[in-house]
Amino acid sequence: MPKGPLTQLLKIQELELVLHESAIVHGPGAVDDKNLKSKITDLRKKVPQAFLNHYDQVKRNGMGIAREIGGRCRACQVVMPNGDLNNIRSGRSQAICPSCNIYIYLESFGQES
Amino acid sequence: MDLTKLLPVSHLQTELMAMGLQDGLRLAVQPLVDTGIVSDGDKFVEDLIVRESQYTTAVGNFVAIPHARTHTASRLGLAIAVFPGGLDFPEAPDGQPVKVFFIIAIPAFAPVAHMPLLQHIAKFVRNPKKVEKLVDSKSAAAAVKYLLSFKA
Repeated sequence: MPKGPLTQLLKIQELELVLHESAIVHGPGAVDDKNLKSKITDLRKKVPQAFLNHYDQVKRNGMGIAREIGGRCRACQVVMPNGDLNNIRSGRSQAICPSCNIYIYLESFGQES
Repeated sequence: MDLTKLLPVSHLQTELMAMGLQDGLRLAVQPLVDTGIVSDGDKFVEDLIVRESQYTTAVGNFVAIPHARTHTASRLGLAIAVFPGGLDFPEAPDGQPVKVFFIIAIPAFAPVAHMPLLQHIAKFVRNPKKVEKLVDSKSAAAAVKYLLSFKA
């Protein structure tokens, strides 16, 4: 699968969650997180700044990107209108959930492939 | 945190034996498969091992909290497995084998839903005496009762 910005954002989000989990499990300051942080930094370099800006902004509320499965955003669980899905698929609008405003990875349409 | 709904007695297994970590994890996740929370045990074990490769979940003192986001989970799940003989765990901070596994299945559609649970368990396992008491419980029911009585 081509490594588009949304694919990279999914990986970044996963690593950020691992960082957060590790701080909980091992206690703050007990995590040797250099390796994870450098991986995140490397991945962020592959993502256009405009994507990162929106991702960082919405991530403050929890998640920055979610997968779409069966027409439903798996973050807010709201079914996305077909018109919106078609607009995203065709590139007429940004891949953002109209309900929760986070990036949406259209799994069912093979986005970015 | 109230673990009553997350931890029925059937989710706690004691006196387990396994040939290795992967085999041990497969046994440990079985209650989650049996109760329908995880639809594919082998895939979930794979997800746990991938997560483990990113950063260890072994906390030392014979305890690990393996957890992973997985498409095979229909909801948040918790299972506890005790291997009295211990299992070798890569990158355990103290190099000791792990005897107690707290397994968390995180549904992929709710990737942060487990944070309060993780926090609760982390506080519990930081106290070696509590873990010892849990392992020394006379039955799974007694162990669950003891764990449910813990207030972080």
